[in-house]
Amino acid sequence: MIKSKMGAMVTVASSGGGGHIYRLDTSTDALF
Amino acid sequence: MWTSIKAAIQESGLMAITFLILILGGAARLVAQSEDGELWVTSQGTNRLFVVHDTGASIETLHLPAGAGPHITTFSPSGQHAYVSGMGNGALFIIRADDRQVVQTLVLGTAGTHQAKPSPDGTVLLVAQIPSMTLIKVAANEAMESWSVVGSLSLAPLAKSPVCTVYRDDGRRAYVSLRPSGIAIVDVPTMTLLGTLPTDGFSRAA
Repeated sequence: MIKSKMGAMVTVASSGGGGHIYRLDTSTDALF
Repeated sequence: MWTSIKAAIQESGLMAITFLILILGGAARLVAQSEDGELWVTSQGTNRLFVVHDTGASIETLHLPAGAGPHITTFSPSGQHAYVSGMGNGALFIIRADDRQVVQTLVLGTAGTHQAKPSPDGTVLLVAQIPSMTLIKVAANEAMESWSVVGSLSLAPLAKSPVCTVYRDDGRRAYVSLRPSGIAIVDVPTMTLLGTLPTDGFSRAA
């Protein structure tokens, strides 16, 4: 998981299953 | 020969912590960059840390106890201390960055302490303990060089282990990747599980 130094977004790399890369908005706890 | 390759880029507080892969012989290593440009490289298989200067012009070697299995290094936002997790013996090694002295060792399990992540203000560490499926909260007092366990959250009811943590900017909420899948949302002051987010899974390789 990588969080930008400024801002609310976290990038999540998931190596299992479909190998998706997600974005997590920490202001809403929403995963995209 | 390389036995595995892992790389991530992570930013924390005042400095960027960049994990890179270096070839120094033997297994792949996780590397963290200190404020002054040093690269701290863990050698999990040989219980050593390498501090690389000037793109390899000189390399210091720090020896940790046999069986420590140092895995991930993070730095406090101040850059004064490094937190080195012991996958081999479950310890968390707290090292004064300037003189490389281990100032405290916390025994958090018998193996599988994966990552210690400092909060944005540096007063809290959340430590992922894989075998016990527990996220451990450590209070950090860098001025006094004192660290103590002050709480924990068991993820055993989910049958999942914590892996790595990021914080919301205010440090009051943490997001913890879980093995084998998912992200836990944690209220840091109370160490309460607020919920989980589904993902399609993370590698089983630690």
